[in-house]
Amino acid sequence: MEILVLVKRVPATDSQIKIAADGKSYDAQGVEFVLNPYDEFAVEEALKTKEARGGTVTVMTLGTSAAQKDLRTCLAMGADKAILLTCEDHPDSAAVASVLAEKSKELAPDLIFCGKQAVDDDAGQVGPRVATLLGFACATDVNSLEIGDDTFAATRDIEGGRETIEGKLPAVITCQKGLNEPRYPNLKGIMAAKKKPLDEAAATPPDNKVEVVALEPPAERPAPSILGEGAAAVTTLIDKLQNEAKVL
Amino acid sequence: MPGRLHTTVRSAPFSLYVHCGFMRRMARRIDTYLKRLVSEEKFDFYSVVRDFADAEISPRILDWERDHTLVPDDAIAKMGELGLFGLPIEERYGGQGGDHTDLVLMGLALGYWSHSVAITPGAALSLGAKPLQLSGTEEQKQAHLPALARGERMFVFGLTEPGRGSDAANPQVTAKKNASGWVINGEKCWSTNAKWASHVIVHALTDPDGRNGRRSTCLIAPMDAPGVHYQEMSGKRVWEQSSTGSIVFDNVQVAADSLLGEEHNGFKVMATTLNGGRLFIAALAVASIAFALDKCSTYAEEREQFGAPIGRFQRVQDVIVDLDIAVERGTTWLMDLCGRFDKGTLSRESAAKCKVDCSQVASDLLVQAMEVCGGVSCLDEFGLIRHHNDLFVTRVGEGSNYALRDLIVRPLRS
Ligand SMILES: Cc1cc2nc3c(=O)[nH]c(=O)nc-3n(C[C@H](O)[C@H](O)[C@H](O)COP(=O)(O)OP(=O)(O)OC[C@H]3O[C@@H](n4cnc5c(N)ncnc54)[C@H](O)[C@@H]3O)c2cc1C
Repeated sequence: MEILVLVKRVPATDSQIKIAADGKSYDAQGVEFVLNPYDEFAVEEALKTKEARGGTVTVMTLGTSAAQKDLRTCLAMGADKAILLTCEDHPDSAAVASVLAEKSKELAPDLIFCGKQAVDDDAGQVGPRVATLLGFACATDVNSLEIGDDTFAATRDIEGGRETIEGKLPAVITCQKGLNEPRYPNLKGIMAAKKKPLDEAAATPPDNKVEVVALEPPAERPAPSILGEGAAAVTTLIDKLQNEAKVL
Repeated sequence: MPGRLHTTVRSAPFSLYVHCGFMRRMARRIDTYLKRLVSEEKFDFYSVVRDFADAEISPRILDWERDHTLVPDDAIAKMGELGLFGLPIEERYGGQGGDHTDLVLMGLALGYWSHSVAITPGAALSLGAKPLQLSGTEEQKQAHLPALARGERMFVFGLTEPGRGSDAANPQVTAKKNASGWVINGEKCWSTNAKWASHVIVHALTDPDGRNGRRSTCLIAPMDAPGVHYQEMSGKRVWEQSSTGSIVFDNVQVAADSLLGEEHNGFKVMATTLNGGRLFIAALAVASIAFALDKCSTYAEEREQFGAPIGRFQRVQDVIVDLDIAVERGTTWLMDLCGRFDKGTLSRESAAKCKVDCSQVASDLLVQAMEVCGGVSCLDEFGLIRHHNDLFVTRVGEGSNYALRDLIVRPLRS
């Protein structure tokens, strides 16, 4: 089974993000980058699928050459090879999907895994867009998956319940927390990763269809106030919850 | 104004990042030094163990402490999945093929949160598997190393006895030869990992008339052999999550092929093993001050007294600087000595000096670190008191510092 995983390098979630002078991007200076946490579920699911059904796992990203490090992490976890499509600009979701779909055609995968969203821009578009461009079936936000010879059954949480959908391969699966427990690479994996193929090629994404016009940090939280003590404070608390916070 | 990207805050539950190991509670200053000292590959490995410890150990350690439990089986199993129990075992025996530097890096990464957790694979390897790697026959290695590497077996280092601590070359435990091998009698104590052990390497008196250092023999005894009795030592208030047992041998028969190394030359097996073990103990000491440095420097920025952060007091800064110096010096020293241990050129004195000095400096500095943080240092959840207690072991374990000075002085005497 040919398995492809699409991954992205994102700022670590504990980084302090500063908005750049242009007000449309963030300042990458001093920010630590990591593999998108949801993509770890994707890599793990790909590896588990390979362990159960055989095949190869390829990881692919579109990004700067710094993403080599994250691809090596995937290789250390157990992926067989990696492809880095380099580009210095900030392509939008449509452009990213178009580049990734184009390259995917060469690999003719049976299954494509990706995170349900990247935690930097939260767009969550790349998976479904790639599926559309390739004409593949697609299941999003999947937290339980079974793969048959040429079928899949995916379960996802929906409002107030769970939904199970079935389809035929080839398919794109976007991975949600709960799907699996991503493994940590071990020393042998890290050493082996250095010897696995990591192909790099320049990409020329099509023009963006959307443009980021403004980026703002969240509003400062107001200072907390102490309403009083014991039973005496309850009426004020209820009043505030009803009229200020409007949660009751 | 620095802030988080709106989207990042909203996107995923906090637990996801903790789970993925992405929510690091404190940036570790020690990483800056290690990055300069070791190859990228080694630093990557260290980072994996560090992230593992941040995600899987640090959130649970306080519960284990308050419940007075040993490292739970599932945590040991997870360390096994990570390959830690096979770390410096050769690949041909199913290990990870790492070296002593990797082992010490693991000690630095895990010991930052808990000596007890770090010493579990640490002693299993540096004291349990190492004598077999150094002195075992090919048959013995094939019989045990693969299972040790998988974490299915664990060896205990049986050197110390109730009556024989620093004077370890002259055990009171005896082994007498008979037609089917050896019969062991006596008691070992302070045996780290005894609870989980499959075998114990017994250092036993075999030739009372031999010259000093040539009176004993090492034997590999299965923990389930008839006559072996293990009991967890109670009342230990250091390394609380680590298993420390006393093991009694009551006419225990072991086979002839349980001989490890040469007959009557068992102390050599133990002593060469201890060189590497002492570096691991030094690593735990350095890990503690690495933790204290991060904790203290963060707290000194946050805690305000007299209208400003306490970090503006020079006395407080002095302690932070001393911690920083100790971390940079300790890591540099350790990495150098690990390299020599792997090449087989590390002298006993050098290993002993590093253990003596790192443990002493760390435990002295840790008290000062607690003092600059004040009363909060007394609380278990602040973490410093754990390191304070645990650091005591680094002063007496694998050779009491005072006794080791006797060894260190030898080349200085004419
Ligand atoms: C938590 C823990 C785990 C341990 N794990 C193991 C293990 O896995 N396997 C194992 O075999 N052992 C283990 N040990 C034992 C450890 O190695 C001994 O505690 C150590 O060797 C010292 O022996 P002792 O405690 O009997 O002290 P003693 O030998 O009784 O010495 C007591 C004190 O006397 C002084 N002293 C002794 N000799 C000299 C000298 N020559 N010069 C100057 N002063 C001297 C020192 O102040 C010394 O601290 C462990 C110990 C601890 C606390």
